Amino acid sequence: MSATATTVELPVTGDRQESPEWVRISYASALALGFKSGRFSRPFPFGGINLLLSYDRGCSSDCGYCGLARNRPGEYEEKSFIRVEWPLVATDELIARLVRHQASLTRLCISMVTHGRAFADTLEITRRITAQVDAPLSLLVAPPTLNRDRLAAFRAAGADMIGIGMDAVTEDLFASLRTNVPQGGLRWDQYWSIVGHAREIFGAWKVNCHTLVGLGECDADLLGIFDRLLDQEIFSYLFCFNPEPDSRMGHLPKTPLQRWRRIQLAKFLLEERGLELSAFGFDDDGTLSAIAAPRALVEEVIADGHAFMTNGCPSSGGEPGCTRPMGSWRPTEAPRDFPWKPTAAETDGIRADLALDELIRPAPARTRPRERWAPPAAGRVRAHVDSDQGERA
Amino acid sequence: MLTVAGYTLDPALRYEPATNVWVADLGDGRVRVGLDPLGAETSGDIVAVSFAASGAALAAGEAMAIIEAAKFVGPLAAPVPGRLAAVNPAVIDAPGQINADPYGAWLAELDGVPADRLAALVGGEAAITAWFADAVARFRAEGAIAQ
Repeated sequence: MSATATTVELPVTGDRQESPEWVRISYASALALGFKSGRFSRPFPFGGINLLLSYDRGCSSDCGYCGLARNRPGEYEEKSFIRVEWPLVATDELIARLVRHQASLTRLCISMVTHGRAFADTLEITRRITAQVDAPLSLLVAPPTLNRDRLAAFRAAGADMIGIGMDAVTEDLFASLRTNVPQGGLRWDQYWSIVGHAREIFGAWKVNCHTLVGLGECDADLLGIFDRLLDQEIFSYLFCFNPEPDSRMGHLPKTPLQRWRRIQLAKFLLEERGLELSAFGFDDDGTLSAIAAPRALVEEVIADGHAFMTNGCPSSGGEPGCTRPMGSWRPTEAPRDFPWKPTAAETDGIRADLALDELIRPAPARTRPRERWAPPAAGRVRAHVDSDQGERA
Repeated sequence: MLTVAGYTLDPALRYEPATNVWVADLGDGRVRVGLDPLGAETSGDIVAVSFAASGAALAAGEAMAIIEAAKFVGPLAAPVPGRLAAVNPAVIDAPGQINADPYGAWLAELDGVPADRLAALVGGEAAITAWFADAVARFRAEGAIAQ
C-alpha cells in the first residue's frame, strides 16, 4: 500500500451477524427485493438498491446529524438511518435475490461505515456481487478507512462510481459536526484527498460528493462547492437535512422548502445549463437572493423537472438509477427530491415554492464554455442545448 | 378462527374487501373497525395514524383516517356510513401496534350505521375465504408481500 489508512484492521469475529456475511438494506430496497412487505404510495419503477455495512460495534464516527452516530442513544442494531429501519439480511440471500430481480435493477450501492474492517468487507461484498449480478455498482466510501490503493482495488473489483459523503460543505462545519465531537476524528483534508484519488482512478463524472443542505451552511457556501466540484468534473449530489430523532441535531428544523427548491434550481442552472457563478447573487448572510438569467430558461428548467429529481448514480442505460424514494421526506410531505419526473401538478407546486418573481433578475445568460458544463447527472438527454441560451433573455 | 393463505381471519367479523378493513358489530348501529392482517402488512411499517374530526358524519368510502407507513400514505375509507364516535388513542400513541396486532389494535368506532350496509359487507367463512385468497394473490403479484 502506498499510504496508510487511519483505521486499525480488526479481525473477523465469531458468529456475529456482521459484514461481510450480513449487510443492511434500505427499507425501499427491502420492499423491492421482497425482504419486507409493504408498498409505495405511488407505484413507480424502482431498482436502486442501497446496502450498508453492519457491525455490532457500529460506526466509529459520530456525526451530529446521522442516525448511525456512535453516541446517538440506543443499540446499534435498533438505530434508524435516514429515519427508517434498515433490515439486516444475509449477503448470500441478498445476492440470490439481486440475481432474481436483475431485470429491474438500475443501480446498486454499498455504503461503508467507519470501522476497521470496512475496507476488506466492502471489497469482499463488491467482488461477490459483481461476480453474479449484472448491474452497475457504486460505493459510498468512508474516507478514514481508505487510501489510493484501496480505491484502486475497489475499481478492480468492479465498482464503477465512488461517492464521498462530505455532507458539511465548509471546513468549519465539517469540524464542528464531524470532527470536534466525542469519538470524532474525521478530517476535512483527508476527505478531499480521497476525493482527489477517486477522481484520478475512476475518471471524470465517475465520482460524486454528497452535500447536505441545512447543516448551518449558507447558500453561497453551497454554490461555491458545487462550482469547485464542477471544475474537477465531479458530481455534487444534493441531500436535504431531515432531522434524525435523538441525534444531536434531531431538534433542529428541516430545511425550509423554499430554500431547498431554490438550491435545487440554482445547482441545476450552474451545472447543466452552464450559468457562471457570477450569475447568482447573495445577500449579506450568503442567502441566494437573485439569479441573473433569462426567465424563459428558468421556466424551461422548471417545466423539464429534472432539476428537482433525486441526484443519484445512473443506471447502465444512463437513466436515473439511485432514486432513494422518501429518503428526505415523509410520505405525507411533498417530495423534496422526486424519484420520478414531476407531474404537471407537482411542477406547479415547485414553481409556487420557488417564488420566482422575487428571485429571477431577467438577463442574458452568462454561461461558461460548453466543455465546462456538467453532463446530465443521470445521462438525461438535453434536447435544447444547441439553442443559444443568450437568445432566451 | 379461519386461516387463509397463511393469514388468520376472524369469521365472526365482516370485511370491506377493497380496503381490507374489518368491521365488528357492537349492536345498536355501532361498529368497531380496524385493518385486517393483510391490509396492515401490505401498508408496511405503520408510523402514524390520524383521524377525521370526532363526530364527523362519514359516507361509505369517505376518509375516516390517514395511515402513514414508512414508504406509504393513504386515506382509510369508512367501510360503512356512520358518525365517527370514537377513535383508539392507543394506535395514535403506538401506530406499530396495527402491524403487530391488527385485530386488537382497532382504529375507530362508528355509530348510526344502517343495518343493511353492514350486512352488505363480506361475511361468512366461504365468502371471506374466497375474497381473501384473491386479495392475497393480488398483493403477491404486486410484490407487496415479502417472499
